[in-house]
Amino acid sequence: MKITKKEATLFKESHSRYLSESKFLAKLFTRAVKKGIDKNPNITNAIQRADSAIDNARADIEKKLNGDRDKIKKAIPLSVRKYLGFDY
Amino acid sequence: MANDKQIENQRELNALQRLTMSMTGDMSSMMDDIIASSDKRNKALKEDATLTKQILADLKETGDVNKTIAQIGTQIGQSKNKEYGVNQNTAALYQAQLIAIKGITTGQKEAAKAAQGVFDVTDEVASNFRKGVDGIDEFTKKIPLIGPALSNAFSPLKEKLNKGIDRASDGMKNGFIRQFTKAKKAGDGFATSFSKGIKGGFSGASKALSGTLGISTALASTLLIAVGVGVLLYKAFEIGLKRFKELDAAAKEFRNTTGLLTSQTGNLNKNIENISMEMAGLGVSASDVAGAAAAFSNEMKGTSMASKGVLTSMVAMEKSFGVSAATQAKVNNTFQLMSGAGAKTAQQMIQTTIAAAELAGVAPAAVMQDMAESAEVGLMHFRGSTKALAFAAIEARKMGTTIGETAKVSEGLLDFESSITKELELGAMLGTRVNFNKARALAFEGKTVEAQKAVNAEVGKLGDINKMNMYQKQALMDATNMDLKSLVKQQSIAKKFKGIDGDRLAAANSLLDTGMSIENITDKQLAKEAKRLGQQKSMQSESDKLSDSMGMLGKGISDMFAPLATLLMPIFNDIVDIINAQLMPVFSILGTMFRVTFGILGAILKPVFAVLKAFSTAMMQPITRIAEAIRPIGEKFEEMAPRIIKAIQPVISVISFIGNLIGDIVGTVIGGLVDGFIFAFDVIFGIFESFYGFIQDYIISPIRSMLDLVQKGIDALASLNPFGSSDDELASDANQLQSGGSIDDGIVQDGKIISTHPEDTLIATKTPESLFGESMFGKIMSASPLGMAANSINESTGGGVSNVVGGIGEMIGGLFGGDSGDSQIGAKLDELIIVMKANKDFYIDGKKVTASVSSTVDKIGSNSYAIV
Repeated sequence: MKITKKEATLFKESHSRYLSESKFLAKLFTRAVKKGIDKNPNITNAIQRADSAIDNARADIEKKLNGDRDKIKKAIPLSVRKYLGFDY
Repeated sequence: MANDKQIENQRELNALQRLTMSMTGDMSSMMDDIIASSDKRNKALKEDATLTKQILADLKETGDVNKTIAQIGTQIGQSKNKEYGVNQNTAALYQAQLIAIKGITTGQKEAAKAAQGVFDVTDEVASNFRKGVDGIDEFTKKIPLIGPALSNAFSPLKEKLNKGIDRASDGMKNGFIRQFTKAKKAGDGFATSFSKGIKGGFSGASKALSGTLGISTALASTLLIAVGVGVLLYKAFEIGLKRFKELDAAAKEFRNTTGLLTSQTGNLNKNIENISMEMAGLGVSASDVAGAAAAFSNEMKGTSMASKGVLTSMVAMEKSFGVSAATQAKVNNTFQLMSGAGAKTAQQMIQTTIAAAELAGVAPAAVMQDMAESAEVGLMHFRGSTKALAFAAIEARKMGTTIGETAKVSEGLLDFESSITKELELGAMLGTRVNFNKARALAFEGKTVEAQKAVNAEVGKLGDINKMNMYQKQALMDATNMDLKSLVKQQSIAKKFKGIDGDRLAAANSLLDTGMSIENITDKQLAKEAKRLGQQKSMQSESDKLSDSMGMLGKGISDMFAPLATLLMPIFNDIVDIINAQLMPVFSILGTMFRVTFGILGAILKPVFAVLKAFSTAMMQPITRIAEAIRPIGEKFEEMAPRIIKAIQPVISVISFIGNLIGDIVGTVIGGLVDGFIFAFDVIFGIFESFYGFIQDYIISPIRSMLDLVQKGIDALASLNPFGSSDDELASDANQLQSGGSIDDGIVQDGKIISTHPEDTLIATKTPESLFGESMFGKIMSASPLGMAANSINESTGGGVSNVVGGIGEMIGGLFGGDSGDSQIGAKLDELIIVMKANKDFYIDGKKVTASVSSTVDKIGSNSYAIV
């Protein structure tokens, strides 16, 4: 079978998503990884526990210092405040 | 020991840990501030802050967050109850800092777990991809003719793909950690940061793969067609070969089982092929058909083989009703022998029996098994009536027995002398009258099941069998010719299901009347009926489940849902019929076309190859001689080979380049196909899931909820019924039976019953008069049925008879006050014998004995079974 230049171009355009290696293999790969992560309850549980830990820490700190922003700023450095979800 | 992958993963995780270390470093500085600002009048705060600083230093050194979390937790607990005096305000800041440290370290711990999870999934996916690439290579190698060449062409691409997979894996992990850490640093929550991390990972994987593969689209399209055609041909061949092997193995299995030769099996191969295809909907395989054919042939001792209709029926009944082919073959043989009908008509009778059994509410497989095991009984008792045999088997099953057992009971009853003696013994032991005359008469007429029923009715009058003592039970077993388990079981069933199944039995009987009267059924009609029954059954399996549930809930609810079933069942039937009607002719035409095409092709190719073979054989001799002649030249070339290779090295490089190019294209095309398949499967399963979800949510769940609700209502009502609990009683009876006859008032020694209560004790002795002395009572006892029964044990020695006679003589003498001698006794006995022979009534303990015995004796023509 012999194909013309025009047919080759047409084929390339219509199948570019399969022929482009960065999209073809990566798409297969990332889809499989996504499915694996979705099916893995340990990952989602760990994320929930982490969020819960920093939420509790934030609430406890605010309670301890009676919600006094100045005191909180004085006690907790900015990097940690950000990490713990304080918006100031 | 950690492998390379684990070390690499740890390296990536360190990036996450660095963020934590940075923050704990900040917190350590805060501890310095606390130490510096604490008032020296109270040293507690300074000491605590110093300890915290030390804990953070340990964390930096070891990275052990678990230990840190535990230590900080302890500090938080202790600091709550501690008195910081003048440093109380600063202490509040310190306590807030402890909480912050705990939050950071706990967050780090869980984030590390999540990241490790992502790494594990990524590694697993990469491993599966590598296996997939290897699988493609293996598959390519197996393609006939072009396989090895394609595999070689695939080799360079395989290498590149594996490298690409490694890069994608690394890119995924690296991208994930980078974006996750960045988002967390920016103050996002863990869930948001994780989501951003995953996106970063995907992006990292794509970027890592960029430029890994090189594609030439023009050549790809050409190879796509070549590979596609090759794969399709290979698959078509593989499917055809699999079916051929299955049929061949089935035919071989038949020959091995029956010992028949290929030339003696007639149309068997064709029948196996056709029936297994036509009945595939019921799960019938070629092996099933061959097994049924072998069972039939063996049962008929190789004298005949099952026709297509008979085989179709056998496999349909086996698959749909669980009646094994071997059982059907035995019953078919019995029916043929009983009725003189052919195999097809006998098989039709089997189908009718199965349908009738189902209608009567008993297991068709159990009924058929009973009939298969009772061929002799069938021939002996049922006077050639297959219908009577079938109905008897169904009815026996309904009563909890078998026709084999009922026949045994009948045979026992017809052993008049022994049976009547045992009957009398039983009556004497129970102190009541037992009369098996009706059962005996029915048994004599060959009505074994009716006779069994009459026995059961008589036994039913004797009360609960379990409450009898062991002597009475033994006497009952002897009189009925049944074992104790069967007696108790049948009594329980009769008690529990008394009269409730009359309608179902009547319907089954009516069906047998119609079905058993069909004669000269054709093969086609039989097969059609078998398919109808088989399909009906497979459809009924769902409706039966529904019906069982309905049974518990009452007739009202059953009626309510009946219209729904009436609506749905025909629709399902029609759908199946439509599919069959549309597809079967198409398959049949295609099969015929293939048969004709390949038949012609075979007819052409066989002679062609025969000619070619002859030609090549003829050609080989001169070629061999030529080869030998030119071998020296070849050897010369061998010497020259290294020099030639050196000279053509540039050409080899060009060929290698072309090979790599082709490999790239093949791999990419196959990858495209894989992606296409994944997409197609996703769509199909998506549709199935939606459909299933709809059925589950809108049909099954509401019905279940309603059924549960009504069931609870009925249970509640049932709990108010003061007359219930028959099942419990039955279970209790069964337990008593298993214990081997426990008694409430007996004497037990070492856990075993050694006697009943003294008041109930029955004494058996050769010399009953010895128990009561020489008094009148002693004489009466020795002459009573009880005495006779005891003495009868010693009948074999002759002493029993003389004791009885002596007892009667002495009794008569005692009654009339005479001091009688032997001659007088003899005279009285003669008188007694004359009375008996003259059919006059004779009384024992005030009960008439001779009349019942005589009436039975009259039926068989002579009085040869009288007591004397």
